[in-house]
Amino acid sequence: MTYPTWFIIIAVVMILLAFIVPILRKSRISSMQNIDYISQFAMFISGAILLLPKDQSQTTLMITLILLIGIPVLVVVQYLVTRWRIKRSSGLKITVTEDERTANIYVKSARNALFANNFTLLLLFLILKTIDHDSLLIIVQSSTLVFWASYFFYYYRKV
Amino acid sequence: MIYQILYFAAMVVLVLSLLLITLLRKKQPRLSTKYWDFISIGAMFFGGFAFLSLLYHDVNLGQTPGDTITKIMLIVFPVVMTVFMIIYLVLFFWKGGINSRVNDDERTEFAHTKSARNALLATNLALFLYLTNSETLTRSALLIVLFSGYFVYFASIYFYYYFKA
Repeated sequence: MTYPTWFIIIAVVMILLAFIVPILRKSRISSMQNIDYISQFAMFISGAILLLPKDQSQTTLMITLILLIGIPVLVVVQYLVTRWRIKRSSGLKITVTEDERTANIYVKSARNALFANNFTLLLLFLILKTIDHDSLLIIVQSSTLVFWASYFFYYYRKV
Repeated sequence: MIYQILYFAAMVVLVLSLLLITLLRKKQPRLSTKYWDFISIGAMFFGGFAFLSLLYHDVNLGQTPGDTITKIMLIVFPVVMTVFMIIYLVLFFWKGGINSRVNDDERTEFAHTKSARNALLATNLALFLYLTNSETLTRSALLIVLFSGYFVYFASIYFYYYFKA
């Protein structure tokens, strides 16, 4: 299973947007204090697994490596910029968008992802009685999907 | 085969005795399942079934079932589960549980949820490490991946429940 170039470009652009947009918002700042970094790291690894194709060519391995180094660097940059913005804007009317409920949302979403992961695995075992590399990717994809669906559900509907 | 049957019987006896001790102990408040996180318990239940079906060769992964890792896992998995049960008993009598009227509160739920999160991280990390080194999927690799998640779940739950809560 290989990914086309346009797919990788869109993925990279979306990752960059996810990091840049929160920094550019003027009135609302994500504090980044209440993000559950263990869940984030678990999802980061899921993404890395999905990026690793079966035939590991030099190009795809290079892209994976760049993302593996690039995303943590982006997180650190985002964190430093956010802290600097919060420090600079003390006294101004600014909303910090996260509290301890955010950390809870991340943890619960990771739990749901594990449920999806194990449930899909068992289902594939019971139905197919065998498992290959592609079906393993289906399992990881399902858990990633459930993680983000849960995250948005808890963040925008439950809190 | 005889070994497996004996082990299964021993596990049933052990689980039943644990349940009896937990439910009948007078000093301890009654157990309440209100704060159990059933989604994470369900996740581990499904994961356990997948692991066992893989371990006992119900799933065909296209290679000989008698490989070394599978043989080691057949011994390691029951031993580790037994050790976890003994640790549970020790912690149960030594520390009791969360100090509340019904023995459990929202901290129990949080311990379950956080443990599931840690198990997910362990599973994904093991899978990633394996896939970067190999292009084909083997039974032994998948056993290690699932086992790491299981191990981390139980270690985490004891840590959060008895030491952090």
